[in-house]
Amino acid sequence: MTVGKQIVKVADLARLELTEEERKRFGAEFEKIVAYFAQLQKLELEGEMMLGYPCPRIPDDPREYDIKVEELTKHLKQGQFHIPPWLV
Amino acid sequence: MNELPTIAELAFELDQGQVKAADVIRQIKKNVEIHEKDVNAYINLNLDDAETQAKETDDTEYPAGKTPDLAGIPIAIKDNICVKGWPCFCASKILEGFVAPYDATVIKRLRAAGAIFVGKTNLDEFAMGASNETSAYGPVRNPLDLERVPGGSSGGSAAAVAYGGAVAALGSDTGGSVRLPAAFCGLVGFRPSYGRVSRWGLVAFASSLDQIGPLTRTVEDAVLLYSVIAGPDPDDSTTYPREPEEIDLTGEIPEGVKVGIIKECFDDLENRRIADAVMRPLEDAGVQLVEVNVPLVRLSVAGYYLLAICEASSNLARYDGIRYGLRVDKLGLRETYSATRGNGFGDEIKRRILLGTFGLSAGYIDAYYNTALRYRAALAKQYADAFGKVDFLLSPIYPTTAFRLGEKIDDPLAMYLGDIYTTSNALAALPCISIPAPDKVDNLPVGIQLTAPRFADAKLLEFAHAVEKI
Repeated sequence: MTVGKQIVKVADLARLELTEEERKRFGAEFEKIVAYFAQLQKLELEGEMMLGYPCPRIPDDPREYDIKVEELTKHLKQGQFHIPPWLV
Repeated sequence: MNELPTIAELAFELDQGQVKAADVIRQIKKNVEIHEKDVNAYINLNLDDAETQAKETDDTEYPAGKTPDLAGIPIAIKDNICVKGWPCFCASKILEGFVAPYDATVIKRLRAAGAIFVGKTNLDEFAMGASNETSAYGPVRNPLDLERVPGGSSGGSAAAVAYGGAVAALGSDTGGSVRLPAAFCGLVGFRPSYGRVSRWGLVAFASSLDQIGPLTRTVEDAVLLYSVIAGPDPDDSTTYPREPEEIDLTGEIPEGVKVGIIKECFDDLENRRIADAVMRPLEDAGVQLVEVNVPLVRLSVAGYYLLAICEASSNLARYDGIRYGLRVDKLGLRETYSATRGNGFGDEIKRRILLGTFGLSAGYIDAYYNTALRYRAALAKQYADAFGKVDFLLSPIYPTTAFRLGEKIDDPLAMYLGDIYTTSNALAALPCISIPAPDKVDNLPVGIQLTAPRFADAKLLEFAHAVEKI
């Protein structure tokens, strides 16, 4: 797949609207940066674990929080969310 | 510059009644008036409230020995850390208008210790950048030379402390974002071990790497802030479950201490004057310097950026126009998401989201993201091997001194490659600190970077304090 087409596909996956100028610019940069990242593939990493988090995580305990939903959104009206018009 | 006292000095003077907290805020107001228009360190200032709080502190009589550790100390907060009731924009258009509904854990702890928050500091958008030029609220300039960058992404925090806009500040460090601005602005910047400081209330960029850390004028001040903010937190499952160790600042270089010079870092450093500035204080103090190899450091920029941007593309998916800030209405939900994100994010964020989405996409995830995860494990092993031979590791912070505004902004790969010395220890979750070298290069500050084994934060701070005294 050409870089130009790849950018369009990736932007669609990322839900990111790009202008034509951005597509060209990011496409050119993309090629150079991805080529640099690809250097990692030359390393001998077989057998290494995939280290996502560098530490064990403590279990989450669900608790009550003093957060009022009304403070989080302007779309809450009379205890219900106001649905954006295109879904009505 | 209009220097303020350090935290340690101010706490002593306040305790002795030699100065009033409100007078310090008034001095900060004057400094802000002089420098802020040029430097642009703050996105939001809260100096009137800070003065009111300071007066309350001045009027409070604490029982003997019960004065909170940071009572009356003015602190600036990077604008990606939530302070209840304050705007939190992360220097992005997409979060314009967002007001934090709760305090981050570090804020709760600073509040309990009596700190006064003076404002929210500018940063690279969503903390993604090394120059503080990607902010939607304009670039921050280095107060030591207005033509140069302050470093990023906590550039506003560093610049505010450097010009006297706060006594100290909090920043966040994903791959160098506390240490680099500290180095460029002549300050101390400390990145604690991953898990030492809670990330609850820190707007996520790359969750497996982000850490909050202090930017201060001395190591002692970094210790004072770190001692308040560090420790386990039930709200962050990645915090280390043990309380941090006591820190004993004797100012003495421990007998027999061995410091490793990372060969790959110094061999590749073109500016030898920076290498000399970094090594000289330790050589002069007679510290045993041992050359060590951490060969995978050379590819740390690739490993770091792949992991950071993949995590960022996922973390930033929540900014869709429905839940936060900006919304660009289109006929259709998907179209609204895309238009909002296309309009609300700046160039650097779009670039990283695209690259991160690519790295996680079907057909590429194994070649990119999973490879970077394996690289991270191998790198951590090489660091562990190095710490089998030495107590601390020494390296520069950046290949150059503070560069000029606009010098690198059009070449993203060149900008990323500058992070070569600050990303590998972050990937390995190690504590690391930047302290100003006594020697400047071209009259600009240089950062000495010290790295310690995981969770040896106390030992690192004690040693850094001794090195600072050389």
